[in-house]
Amino acid sequence: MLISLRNIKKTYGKGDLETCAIRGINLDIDEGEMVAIMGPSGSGKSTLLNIIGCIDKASGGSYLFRDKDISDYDSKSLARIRNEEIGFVFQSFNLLEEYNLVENTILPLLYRKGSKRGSKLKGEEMLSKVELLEHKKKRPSQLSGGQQQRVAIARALVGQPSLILADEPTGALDQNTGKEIMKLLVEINNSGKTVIIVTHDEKVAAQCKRIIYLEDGQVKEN
Amino acid sequence: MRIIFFLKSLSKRRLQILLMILQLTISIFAFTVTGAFALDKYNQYMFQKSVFDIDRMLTIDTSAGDPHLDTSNVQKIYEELLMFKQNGDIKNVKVVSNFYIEVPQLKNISMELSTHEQDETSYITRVSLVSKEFMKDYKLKLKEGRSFNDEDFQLNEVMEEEPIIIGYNLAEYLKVGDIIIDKKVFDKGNLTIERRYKVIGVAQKGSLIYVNSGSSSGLANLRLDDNAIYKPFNKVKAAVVGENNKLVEGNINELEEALYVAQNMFVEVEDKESIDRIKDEVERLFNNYNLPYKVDKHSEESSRLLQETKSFVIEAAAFAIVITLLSVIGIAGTLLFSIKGRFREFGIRLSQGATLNNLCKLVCCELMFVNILSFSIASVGGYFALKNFQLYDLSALIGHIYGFSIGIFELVTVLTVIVPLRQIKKLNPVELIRGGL
Repeated sequence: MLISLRNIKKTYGKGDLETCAIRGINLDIDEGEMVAIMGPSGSGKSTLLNIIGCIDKASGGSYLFRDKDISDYDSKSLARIRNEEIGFVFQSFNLLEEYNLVENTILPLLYRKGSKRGSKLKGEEMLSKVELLEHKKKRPSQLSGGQQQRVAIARALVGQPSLILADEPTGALDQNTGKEIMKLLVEINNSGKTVIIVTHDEKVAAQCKRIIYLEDGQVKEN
Repeated sequence: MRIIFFLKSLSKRRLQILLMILQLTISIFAFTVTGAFALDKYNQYMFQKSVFDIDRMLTIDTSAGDPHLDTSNVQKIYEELLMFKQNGDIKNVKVVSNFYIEVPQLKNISMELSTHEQDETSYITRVSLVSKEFMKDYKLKLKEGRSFNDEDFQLNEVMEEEPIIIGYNLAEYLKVGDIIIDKKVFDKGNLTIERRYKVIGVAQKGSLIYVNSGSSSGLANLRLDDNAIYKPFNKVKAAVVGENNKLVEGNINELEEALYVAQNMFVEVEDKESIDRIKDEVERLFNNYNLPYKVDKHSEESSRLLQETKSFVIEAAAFAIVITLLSVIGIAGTLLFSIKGRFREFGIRLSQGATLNNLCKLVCCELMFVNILSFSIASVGGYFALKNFQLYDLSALIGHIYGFSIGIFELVTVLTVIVPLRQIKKLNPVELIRGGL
């Protein structure tokens, strides 16, 4: 099992101001799955993604990653998991304008221990996979939205993570470009990586093997 | 790889970085220049104290008089002062004068002199003529060779080779035993006077002083000078007016000449005597001959100089501190502003595996880069700015100041970075990665 969430809760504030974002979610995700998380605004999708992505910590329950309970890990250990095990794809691409495509792609390797030798080659290899190698010296702003998202996917893949978390990956793209990106994510999943996508788009969710519906901080349908 | 990332990250905020470099450069520059001046004044004062017994010395400020005064009586005054010595009122009358020679070997350290009439440039080197009394208690330290002896000070006959002691820096061009020749042409080429100088000693670093003739303040114009050349007053070859007003080769007594033009004189008072009484008498002596020269107690002048130095150091330090405080506030503000504009970047970095510590390190490295660059620019700029002033041993001086500046600016770095780092540490990664993006 790659991810196992047991009675995960997340509350914000204290006392009378306490707000419950997640109310005891139990969820198992196997390696190689492609999962869509859907739900209305305020249902807890983003909070759940934060917890799965080791960005935020749950207020209660336990989070097992590869059968290891990481609920009590400190921020440094969580950063290491983010760096080595998880690749993020965001709706707004989140590339750094000051760097060219290769440099943006290898950003996660910068925070990895050990020698950085060969990083550039790895970055080029990833850009080649997303068919952008010929643009490697360009800056993100010189590319279309679809191309930028492909760079973001290359960056998510460069560290060989086991899990790809995509937050509305097609949200800022037109329909055709969105399809291309989804095709790429499906290919990634077919190569054995676990992909979790948060989306409002049912067409996107339909391409996933499993759909989880959240409502009011709980799993409504799995 | 990291360096490229680092530099590109900096180049994105080049305006802010330039602003920080500018602020820091100005304050380091101010520290360096004012500090170097203060230290030089202090060093000069301490050196003078170590060479002369300045508490028992009177200095006669020859520039206080009218340049058109009849100075022919200074020789008589000098002789009367020697009577004081015989009476046991004073220990010594020290006389110093300067003249210039032109020798090719010393072109590198010479002053350039353009003569408009002949449209030629000559390179002249200053030589300090010193009296036997001047050298008597002078704590001259020699690197090699010997000091002047009684024979070197003889005034009876012309010496074929006049002895000189050279400053430490001149050892690069001359050695003990070398002879340098100065040829002076007079009367449109009809008369050439050739004088030969033999190096008999090389002074240690920081051992010779230069007495600036015609100074407005005697003590202030005694300066350490490793380029100095000392020569005793002698009887020497010179161009003198002969028959039909034509210049011919003759002899002159350099001490008499020096006294005639009233060069710097220092009177050393005997320990048992009241320095005030001797001061009054020396003043009266000059007044008797209608030479209203200013006679000062060296100790008073040194106190004034010390006070001036203290005031200068206080003013310089206050100025540098204000500038530094302004730059601390300015840089901290610029950093804070920069951090607020980097939340998106920080969020992206955190999502890719960076920790808040990594972000702190990044900001610290950027500040270090700014500091090192500012320090380098200010150091080089400071050095070249100070080169235009007569500061003794600028390299050593600036080395001391830079050592101090480094300490101050390490402190500045810490002060500037505290608030921004605290702010980074308080950042919420969830908001940065999710909300900030």
